[in-house]
Amino acid sequence: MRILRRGHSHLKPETLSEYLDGRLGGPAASKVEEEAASCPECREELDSLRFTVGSLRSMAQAVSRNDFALEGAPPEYEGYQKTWPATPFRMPGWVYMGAAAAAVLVVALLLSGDLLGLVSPGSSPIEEQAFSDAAATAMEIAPLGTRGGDTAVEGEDMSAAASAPLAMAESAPGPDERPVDMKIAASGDAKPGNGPTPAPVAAAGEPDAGRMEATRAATLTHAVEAATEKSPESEPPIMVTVALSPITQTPTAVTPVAMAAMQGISATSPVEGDIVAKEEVKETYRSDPPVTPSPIDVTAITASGHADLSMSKSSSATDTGQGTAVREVTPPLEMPDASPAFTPAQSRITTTPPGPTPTPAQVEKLETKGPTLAVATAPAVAKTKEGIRPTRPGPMDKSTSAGPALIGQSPISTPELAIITTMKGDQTAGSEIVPEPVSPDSAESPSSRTGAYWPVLLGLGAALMAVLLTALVISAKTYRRRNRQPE
Amino acid sequence: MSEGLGRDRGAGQVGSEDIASPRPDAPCVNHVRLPLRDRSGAAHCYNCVIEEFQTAAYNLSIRMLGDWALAEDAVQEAFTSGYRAFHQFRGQNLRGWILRIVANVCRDMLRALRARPAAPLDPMPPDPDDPNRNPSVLDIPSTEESPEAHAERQELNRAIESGLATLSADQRLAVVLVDVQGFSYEEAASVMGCSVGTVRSRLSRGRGRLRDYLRAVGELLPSRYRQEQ
Repeated sequence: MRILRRGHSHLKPETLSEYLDGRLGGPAASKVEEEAASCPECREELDSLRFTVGSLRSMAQAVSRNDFALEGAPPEYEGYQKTWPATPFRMPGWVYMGAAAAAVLVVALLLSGDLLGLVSPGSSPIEEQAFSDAAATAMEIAPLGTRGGDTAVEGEDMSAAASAPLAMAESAPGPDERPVDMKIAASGDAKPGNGPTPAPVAAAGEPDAGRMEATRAATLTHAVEAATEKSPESEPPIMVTVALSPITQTPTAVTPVAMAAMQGISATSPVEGDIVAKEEVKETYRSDPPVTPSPIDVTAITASGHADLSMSKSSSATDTGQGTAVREVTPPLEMPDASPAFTPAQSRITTTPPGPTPTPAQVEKLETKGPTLAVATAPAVAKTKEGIRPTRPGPMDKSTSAGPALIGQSPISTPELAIITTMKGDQTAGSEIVPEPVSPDSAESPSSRTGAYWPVLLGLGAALMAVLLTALVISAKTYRRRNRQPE
Repeated sequence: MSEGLGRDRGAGQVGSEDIASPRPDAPCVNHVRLPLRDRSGAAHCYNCVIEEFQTAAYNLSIRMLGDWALAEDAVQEAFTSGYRAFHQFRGQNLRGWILRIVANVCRDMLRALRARPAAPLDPMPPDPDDPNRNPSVLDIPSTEESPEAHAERQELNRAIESGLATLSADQRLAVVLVDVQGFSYEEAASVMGCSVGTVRSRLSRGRGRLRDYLRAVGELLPSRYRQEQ
């Protein structure tokens, strides 16, 4: 019998269940009945299921003694507190402690790496400190614009200063009693021997612009003079940096140690207090008529949007071997060619490695460029602020060191707001200036070096995320294991 | 359990003048009128809805939870949740919508009980002669059977209740809905939130496990209820 029924397959429980519920059609129901009639096992299965279902259906309905009718509208939903046993995302305490420890470790690594100079190869704590010193110095000398009234000729307003900017410069006689000239006029007006030249904007009938330029020139002059007041007159100056305040747009005297770092010449960079002497600064304004060889360099920014800081009219810069710093200034579109105004925010500073000494033709070319906005520089020699003060990297004296060219930058704002400054070596000291090589990394400002942090931050962040994900997986597995329903 | 705090008329509330009660002939005399409007715009008195489906909801919850106190809490919570969510009801199969809420509440409670099992403080069974004792499903008298038959049926019901407790929540819900409540497969599927095939599978497996349980305890059942081994 078993052999004869080898090909028989018993009825599936689902089929029997549906048959009991009357969900099978005529042919299917007939087949189930036939199978149940021929197969004892299928019949027994069907009978047992029928008894179970009958028992279930015979169960009486329960009636609650309570009435569930609401006596009124239930209150608003105020946060349903489910009694979840645990959530898969609830982690044990060691996960949070580990995450906190990892975060502290990351911060500690970043700080230590930053302090040791390991994070950013182009920076060093010394340079950072130098930059901070420069910023502090700038803030100390900074609000020169507020003292602009003192700089102007006593009793005259700024409009008068606009018409006679040179008068302010001439009020401080130089060593050789040559007139100090700050070119504000166009190049055509700034010919040698022309003397004081009014601002072209003011001459063009725009008193506001002229007054503004006059104010700028006056404050610039005062910035240089104020910077030189701290230096003994007997000692040669080192440098002057003039920067525009990003807020007041007034010139500010800054000791640009940061620019030394920017150009990779931090070893011989002056420090705070190294400013030019008053008489020497007067030389810096001497651009008209052509000056005789002197330790004073001239920086010119032309209205055409190009300023060549390496162009020196003095012979002192001929053999310094220092690099050429070029500041490119993009003038406003509406600015006329003759206008000396320029927008510092549209300028940028570029540097080039040390090159050949400017030729007289280049100097002449500089002189024939557009209107000069300002000139300010002084020879750089080793000096101290008060008494003898060594400068980095070691003690400096007049015979061994001199500051190479620097480009000033306002340490309190973006580089776009920086303005003219140049620095030339003082050949009168008889020393040979050997600037440090300029490295591309050192040309970056501290603010631009933040990009070096990204790889480190990304790596540490990825590691932290990996730790957290691992802890999450472990927590989920623990949750499943604890809440597994016993079979 | 009822919280009769007042509330301004919400988005789903309507005025009492345009109520289309599930039983229009039954005036709302035994309860407070709670006019609500469903998603289709039809107006209902929510207390009428409760009155109509509270027995089915209580039967479902007590067989899912096995405890009358928990069942009452579940039903009350389900009706409260249904009132808040009545504006989402689309106007079709109100019984299935209500019982689905009840089933979800029961599942939440079962999950909570599984995580934090609670033992009764008084393990002693209630005195059957105590008129103040809590009612049970087994206490429902039948006017068509003798006391002996009633006692035997109580014994069988206890076995079935125990057998239902051995099923999983999904299988238990399917068995209760189809076999006890008399739902069709489609209606049970709507209540359970699954397909008809899933209902069929869960029902078959639940019946099979319950049958096996009754076979195992068959010796304890009366002779007329013993299944042939």
